[in-house]
Amino acid sequence: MTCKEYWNGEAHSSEHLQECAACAKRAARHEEVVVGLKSLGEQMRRVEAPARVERALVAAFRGQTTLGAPERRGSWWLAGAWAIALAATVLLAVALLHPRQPERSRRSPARSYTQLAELQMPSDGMASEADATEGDFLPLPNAELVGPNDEMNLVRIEVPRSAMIPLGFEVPAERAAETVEADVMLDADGVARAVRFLDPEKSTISSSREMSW
Amino acid sequence: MAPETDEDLLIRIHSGDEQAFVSLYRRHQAAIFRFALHMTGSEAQAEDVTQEVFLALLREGCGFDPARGTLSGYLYGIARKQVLRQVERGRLDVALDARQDEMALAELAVDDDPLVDLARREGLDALRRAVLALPRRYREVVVLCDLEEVDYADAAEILGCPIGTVRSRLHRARALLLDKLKQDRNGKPAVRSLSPARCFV
Repeated sequence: MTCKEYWNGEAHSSEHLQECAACAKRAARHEEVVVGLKSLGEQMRRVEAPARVERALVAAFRGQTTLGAPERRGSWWLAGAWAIALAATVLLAVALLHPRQPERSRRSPARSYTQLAELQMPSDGMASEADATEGDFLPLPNAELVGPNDEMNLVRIEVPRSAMIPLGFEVPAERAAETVEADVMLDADGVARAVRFLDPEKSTISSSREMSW
Repeated sequence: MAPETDEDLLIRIHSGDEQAFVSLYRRHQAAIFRFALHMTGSEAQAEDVTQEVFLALLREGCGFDPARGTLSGYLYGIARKQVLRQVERGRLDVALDARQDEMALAELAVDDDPLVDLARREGLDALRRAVLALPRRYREVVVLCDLEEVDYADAAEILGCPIGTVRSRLHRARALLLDKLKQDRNGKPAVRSLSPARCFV
């Protein structure tokens, strides 16, 4: 075995090292590198993601479960019917379980990354029925508690189109199971306060704007 | 009572169980974060990658199939793609913020022992810089196999290559590390690849 064969091979024969002092020396230095790498690995073993990453992910998880996870495609009619019922139930539960709470001035600990962004509420509170335009944030039942200077987390998720129905949007039944992107505004506790649907086909969906929060 | 398997936790997660998500996250986050940290050299980017990995897991139909491998391998696979995506976006430029990142890594790796051998620490710092300067395909095998002690078969699955390729890349990576450390000792630039990879003019 030549030196080149030894170093290019996958299996390293110790016989070559007994014959070649240069390779033996080089192999010993390789071993030092391996030992150093193991030490480096041990040194870093306690390093973990900062707690803010977990907080942001939990907030995203709550945002997703509040509005409902996207349904699987296929058997759309059954899925759509269930999605509509589920979305309506979840939103009703949010309204009932999170009635008027003391106003919080706490800042969200979450840090902005790819899908999270800090933003402030509009100065006049949530978009009112009168000036709401498509693309505005629509308040969920407890959104009135959000103060003008409260900082919220914004999480982008995918929800079934059926989740738009309880918020006053008209959605054709055959499209209820489709998914649509939505920005959900979450407070520091991860409670969804408002939602904005990002629909590339706005013309197909119209808001009845009859909901009054 | 035996701890729940990853698969059990995943089922609970997709039925909306927040505690299951937290448990699964805490079980795997450190390894994913360290992998991303070693690969990017940036704490902020490692946080970004970690977050993206677990957000991907939240999506229904995320693509994990227990029959094809472990959840750990799957998460490493997503992390690897996220690192690659950051490179493609041009967000990873070691040359521009190498000093800042080195400081961040050094802070993370502080030893509790005040009497820790300074020479040893300096040696490990040099080694860490050398790892960061390796070409990506060599760096990832070193990070997985040497630093995170993932076995070769799992590393091959994560990297999507034969196990023999893992071995040969690892061997080549160690040789490159040796060269870089040698250059460092001789006072030459230890990490040639730290020169700017792009021309912005």
